[in-house]
Amino acid sequence: MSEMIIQTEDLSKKYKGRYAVDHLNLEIAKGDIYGFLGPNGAGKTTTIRMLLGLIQPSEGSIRIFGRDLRKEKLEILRRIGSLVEYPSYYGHLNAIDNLEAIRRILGTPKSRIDEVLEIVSLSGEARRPVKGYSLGMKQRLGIAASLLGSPDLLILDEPTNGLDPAGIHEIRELIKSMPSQYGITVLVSSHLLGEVEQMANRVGIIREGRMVFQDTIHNLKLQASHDMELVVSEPDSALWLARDMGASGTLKEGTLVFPGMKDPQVALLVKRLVENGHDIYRVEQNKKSLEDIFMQVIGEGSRP
Amino acid sequence: MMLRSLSSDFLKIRRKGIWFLIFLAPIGLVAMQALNFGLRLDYLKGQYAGHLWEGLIDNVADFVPIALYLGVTLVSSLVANVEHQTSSWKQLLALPISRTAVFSAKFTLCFLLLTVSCLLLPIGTALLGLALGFGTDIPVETLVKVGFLPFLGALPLLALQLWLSLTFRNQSLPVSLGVALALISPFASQLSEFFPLNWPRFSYEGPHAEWFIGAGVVTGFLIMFMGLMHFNRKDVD
Repeated sequence: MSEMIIQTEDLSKKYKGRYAVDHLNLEIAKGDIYGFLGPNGAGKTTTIRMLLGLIQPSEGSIRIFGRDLRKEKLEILRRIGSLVEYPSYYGHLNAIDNLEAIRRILGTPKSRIDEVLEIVSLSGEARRPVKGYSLGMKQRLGIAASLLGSPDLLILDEPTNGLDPAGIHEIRELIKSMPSQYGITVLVSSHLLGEVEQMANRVGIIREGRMVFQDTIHNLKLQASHDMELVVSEPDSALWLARDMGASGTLKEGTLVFPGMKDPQVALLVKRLVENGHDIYRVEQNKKSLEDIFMQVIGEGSRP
Repeated sequence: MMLRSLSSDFLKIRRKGIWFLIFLAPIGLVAMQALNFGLRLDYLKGQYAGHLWEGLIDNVADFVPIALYLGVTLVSSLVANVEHQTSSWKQLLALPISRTAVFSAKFTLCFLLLTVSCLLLPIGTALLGLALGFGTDIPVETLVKVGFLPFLGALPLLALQLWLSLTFRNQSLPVSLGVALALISPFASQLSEFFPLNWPRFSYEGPHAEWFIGAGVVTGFLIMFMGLMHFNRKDVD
């Protein structure tokens, strides 16, 4: 397994006796674009605030770059760029002064400001006060700020929240370029799987503070159960035949539906149907959309 | 690290009206006395015959504590609000800088800003005295004392106000408290001189000013330390 950038062990945060984050084990490897998914209020932002040392975990530990966050916080933070929820900015200052205020703390060379403005294509607007910016521009300024310290890890919380489609596209392309162009590992949170799917290679899905799925996008798609649908000449007796061989299906408007049926079982069923004189008109797989998979995974997590 | 944060803070308070306030306060106090002496110069010259400068400085000194209380309250709130306004705390504190450095930088910023006011007051008073024709025998030591000693006595309130302003996102509580304290401070002189609201006044006048200066500095640092401890531990939303 490749080098772990973020590793949490039983990370938990309790608010008034209730777990907002419940024994979470995050694993993010070097070069990943890790999509951190979950419905609103699932604990994504709380987790991210803990990763950045903004709030104290109630239990568990966080290791980033192989070091303990509690003991070496500043050394770790020096290598992280972050954008937490809606952008932070000093509205009365222009983009350059906003970045300068951060640069003075980081101590990076002044030339870095022009570089990051170039990366997020804000160079042309850099001298206007930021309060006049559109939300998309403010968000890009936030990303520029997070890149200022030339980080190895970028933590972005809902970076496309509230943006229009063009803005979302722009931010997505920007994020996608990070590992390849700058060697930056990215953790990006979102409540939309469709959005993360287009940039992430690995996802972690949380619900009510608990991790319900953590693997590659590819495996997420495989894990989803697909329904097999058959249309035959005599559906009623075909259904009995299927039940005889142990396949539980339902009859929906003349179509036989078998949830999560595996390939050998499909082959066997078709063979038996033919042997028994059924005419088979259609055998098709009902592919689930990613959003369905997402809902399925989240739904499973809710069971006690 | 604290200096880096401080230099960043000086950049952030640009065009926020803080500098305006810093200049307004001492100039306002001097302008009040310009009016006072301008309207009844002959009468007051008779009153303070032989110690004209001291008379002027005493008149200024009467208003220094209340001005300090208001100044401390507003400067703390404005400095804290720069970060509250667009919730920049999460961005600032996720940077590789200790919270101690951030907090001490804010305190130092407020202290330096108020020091500028305290420096302008004696200068303005001296200019007024010269303009009124009180002669060139300027009592520099007394002037410097009226500028700075009450400030030392007001340090506990600065520490308290900054702590409250940094803690509460809604500034109405700290500002109301500070303004209320400023308004009742003139009446506090009825009470014992050891009552904290009297410390700024008695750091300048009275037989044992050094007691109150010491109490102000020590208590100020104690409260600042408590604020720092709290700031270091609190969760940032």
